[in-house]
Amino acid sequence: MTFTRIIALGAAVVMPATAHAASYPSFQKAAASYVRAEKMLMDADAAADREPYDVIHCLAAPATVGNQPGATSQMAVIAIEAAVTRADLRTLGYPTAVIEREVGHWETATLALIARSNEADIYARSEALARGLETWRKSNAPQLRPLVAEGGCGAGEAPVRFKLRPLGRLALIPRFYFAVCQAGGIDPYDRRRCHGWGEVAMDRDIYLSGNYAYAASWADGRSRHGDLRIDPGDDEKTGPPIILTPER
Amino acid sequence: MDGYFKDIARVLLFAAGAATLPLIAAFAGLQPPWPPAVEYVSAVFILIAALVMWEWARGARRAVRRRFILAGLALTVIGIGAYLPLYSQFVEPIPGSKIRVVRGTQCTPRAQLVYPADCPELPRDALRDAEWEANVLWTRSSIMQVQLILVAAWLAFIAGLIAFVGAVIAGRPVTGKKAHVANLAQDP
Repeated sequence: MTFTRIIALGAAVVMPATAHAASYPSFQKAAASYVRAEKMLMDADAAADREPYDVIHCLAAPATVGNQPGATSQMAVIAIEAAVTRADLRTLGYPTAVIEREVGHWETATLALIARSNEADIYARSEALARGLETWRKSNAPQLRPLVAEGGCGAGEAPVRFKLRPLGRLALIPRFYFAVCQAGGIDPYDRRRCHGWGEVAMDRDIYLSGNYAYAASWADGRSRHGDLRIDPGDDEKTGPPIILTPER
Repeated sequence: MDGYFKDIARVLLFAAGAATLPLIAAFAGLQPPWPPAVEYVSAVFILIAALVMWEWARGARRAVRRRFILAGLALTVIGIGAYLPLYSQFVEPIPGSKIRVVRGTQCTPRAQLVYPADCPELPRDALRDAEWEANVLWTRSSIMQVQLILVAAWLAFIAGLIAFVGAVIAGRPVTGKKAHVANLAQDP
């Protein structure tokens, strides 16, 4: 499985500033308030088609947390994944009690995994989550949309590093999601309304593949927008960092 | 009995030789991209097809064997005749990578929104824009259908090839049989 897709985590995500010392409930709270703020967006996405709903969203931690090492940033990803899953399942008509039971199990099991290893795959228990919900659905509400745990978070990705000079914030969106917003009449650079933006941690490998739009911003108000194309390399080595400076 | 084992050894040897075909094809990137480890699936399929062909064709009359040969030839031509155009239309290699992506035949609602005029035959750049993730652009069910059709065409080609070669080989006399009979005759 690959984890390149970075969606739905715009600047609106307010994670604890002291992320390294934070406990999981504080991430849960921040993630839940993010999903509440973006409710309309998440609902629309979940109800977009009649295909099985994938419980793996390939979310990335926002920069405020992503810059922290180890399990803390994984906790943020788990919290966001769980919050999005809860919100989408509610939209799809699953009862709250079932959602809480199954997603709660997933969170507990996944937190136990990352407690054992910082490198643990946070989606290792997602199949069990989908299976548990599917078992309930088939017996109790077969008319509800079926669930799968497939992932599908991009393919052929290459490790990439970014540097902003001076230090600033960078967000990316796959060009397809950018185009979805344009086609839907949404300003694609409005990260609160355009679904698909994700903040990028500086000086860390992130795995990307394909065409992206980026939005870089600096504390003094300067910004820069543009497109990026990331092609798979011949090996898994990270190339030289992509350096972005403010537009003159 | 000895002839029986020589016969089956010959078939197994043939099957083992034939089983290298998908490995060679995998090297050439010709095999279907799905399911994972399809070369092993193909190898097992070849072994089974070879044994079935040996069972059916070894004792068959020449006229029946010829029918097997013709049926095998037809299946081979139909299989590869379907597979290659399907492969060309639906399999998209990611440049600079060994990964191949299978397209679908029905766009997702979001892809329909972005490419209303192109769906479902989206340009390669649509895949690049979607991080080479076909599920974003085409419905899972349509991708699965294409994957199954690709595998069916590939296995039809393999089965036809094995039926064709197997029917030709199975009808040949076992070279060791005469010598074996002669040895028995000389035994006191």
